[in-house]
Amino acid sequence: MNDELKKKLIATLKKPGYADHSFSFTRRDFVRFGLIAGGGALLPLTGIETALAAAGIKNQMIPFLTIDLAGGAALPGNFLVGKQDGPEDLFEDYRRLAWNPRESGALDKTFGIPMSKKCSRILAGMKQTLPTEISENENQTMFKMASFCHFSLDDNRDNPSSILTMVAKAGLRGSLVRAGLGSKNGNSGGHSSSFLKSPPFQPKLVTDESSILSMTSFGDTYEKMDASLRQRLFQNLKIASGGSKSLQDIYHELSQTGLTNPALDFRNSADIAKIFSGGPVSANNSLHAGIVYNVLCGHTGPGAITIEGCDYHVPPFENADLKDFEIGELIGRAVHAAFVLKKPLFIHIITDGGVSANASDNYERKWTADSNQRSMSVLGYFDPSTPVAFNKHQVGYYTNDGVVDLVTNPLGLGVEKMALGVLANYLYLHGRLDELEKISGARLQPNEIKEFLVFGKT
Amino acid sequence: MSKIKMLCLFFPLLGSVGFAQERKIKDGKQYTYDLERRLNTQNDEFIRNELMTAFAQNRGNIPKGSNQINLSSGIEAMAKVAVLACTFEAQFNENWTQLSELYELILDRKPTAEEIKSALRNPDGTLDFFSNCLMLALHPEFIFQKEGR
Repeated sequence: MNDELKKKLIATLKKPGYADHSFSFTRRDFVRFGLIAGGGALLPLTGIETALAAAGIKNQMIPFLTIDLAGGAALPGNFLVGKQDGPEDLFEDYRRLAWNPRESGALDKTFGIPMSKKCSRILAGMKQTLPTEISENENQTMFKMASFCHFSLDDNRDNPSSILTMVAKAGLRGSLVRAGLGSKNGNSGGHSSSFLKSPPFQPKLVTDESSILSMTSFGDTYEKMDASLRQRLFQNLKIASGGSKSLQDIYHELSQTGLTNPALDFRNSADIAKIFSGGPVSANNSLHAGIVYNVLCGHTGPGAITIEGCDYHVPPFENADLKDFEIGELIGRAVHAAFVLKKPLFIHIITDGGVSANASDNYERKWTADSNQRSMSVLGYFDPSTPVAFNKHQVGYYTNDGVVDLVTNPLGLGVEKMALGVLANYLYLHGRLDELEKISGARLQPNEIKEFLVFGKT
Repeated sequence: MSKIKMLCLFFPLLGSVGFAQERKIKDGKQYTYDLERRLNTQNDEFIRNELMTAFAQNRGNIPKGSNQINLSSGIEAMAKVAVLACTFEAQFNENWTQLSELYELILDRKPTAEEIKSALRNPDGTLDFFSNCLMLALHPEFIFQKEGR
């Protein structure tokens, strides 16, 4: 064994956070601790650490937001999907996706992955809510998106598409509330289920603005208690925990909370309040603002926002465009909020299944049926300080028949590889790709990791 | 150190390891019902409804059935229900002095000498109903399911 490596490993294991690690000296240990090259080490680091430091993010993890579109949204009806060579490797017929990318001037490439300039209401919603520095500049490098083309079950909460709990497990925990926030009851805080169903990393359910504001409060009577009495109460409970360190830690954590924390109020930022107040009045604007604000400020862990009613094949068909616009507004507002707060933001847009149109020759946007082979997810990344560069805008692909390839597609038959691929990209930004297996409990081959990474050198 | 001393040290430690992991936290509805049954001594319908409303508002963060949940979020959600329950009951116990009654009511046992000593008191030395009630409502013996359930 190389003595130098052994010394380095011992030094690493003595650092905080490695207390539970055993002293074994296999090649895998060396790779895990970054002392020799593993598959992930082949890939370059980005300037993300500088960006996070500049943004004042203490735990050095990129704020993360899942946008979960319940019902199987028409994402390929907005974002261009193509064959093996990427989104612009067009397949034969796009009538089922209700837009024609071959039409002159059909594509808008402002956000990396081409979008339908003429038909996409998601694009329209984004352009309306993003700052002009991003929305009006085709050469902008602050916010880019890429797609993952994959199969997913229609109208089904069992697609394990959400990576939120894995992001929390990777270390994205809040400064005021350790857990993340989710707008829907479930193990992911969203409509879809979690790839990693792990209760300790499950987000808190918040259903409206007041539930965010009162998130840390136990109630009026508790808040009026004498502070020393509150501390003694939890001191007694810690003693009652016997020798259970984990329970003692929970009581200690609870003793630090219980009171209303004004810092959770998004209205502390006039900019955020303004960003989420424009456009059609939606009952959920303040809930979305509260989640986005607290996620971006690092007050909480990762966030999940569900947009209901994305099962587009139910008339009236105009509702689909309205819903797409709402999705675009939310994406745009979240990125705009990150822009004004000067924080990076990683967005993961997921849905359950897909939808197909009536295949009319004039590309009518009449969605007529669920279509689980016309599904996809979108990854978006905003960085206020370091240019975002993708080396590809599509992972996985569609066949020439205009459906997700289920035979040779590297994303396979479900959403699991997509989830791992998106997590790989998130970890890559932190230079921690070699922790993918430890965090997810699943393994990707080096060639798969290479296939799934969308980020290039910055 | 003798083997007997080692064993004396080892077994209590073994028993305490994983207390939280091995025992299941109560189902949220069960917790609310238990609390209501024990604390709503007036058997008041209004209080019952208020507690169930508080439970409903927190049900996303409180355990359901045999589902596991983030323990910290679960106990925190229980605290919100418990604060409400103890607030109501405190109104009926302004001149309360019997700590052992409260222990029996919630934990089905009398307090130990140590617990009597560390009971929560107001600055004037009198026992404080609300804080003692809340402490017992969040006590490990009350929030976890009984063994064998």
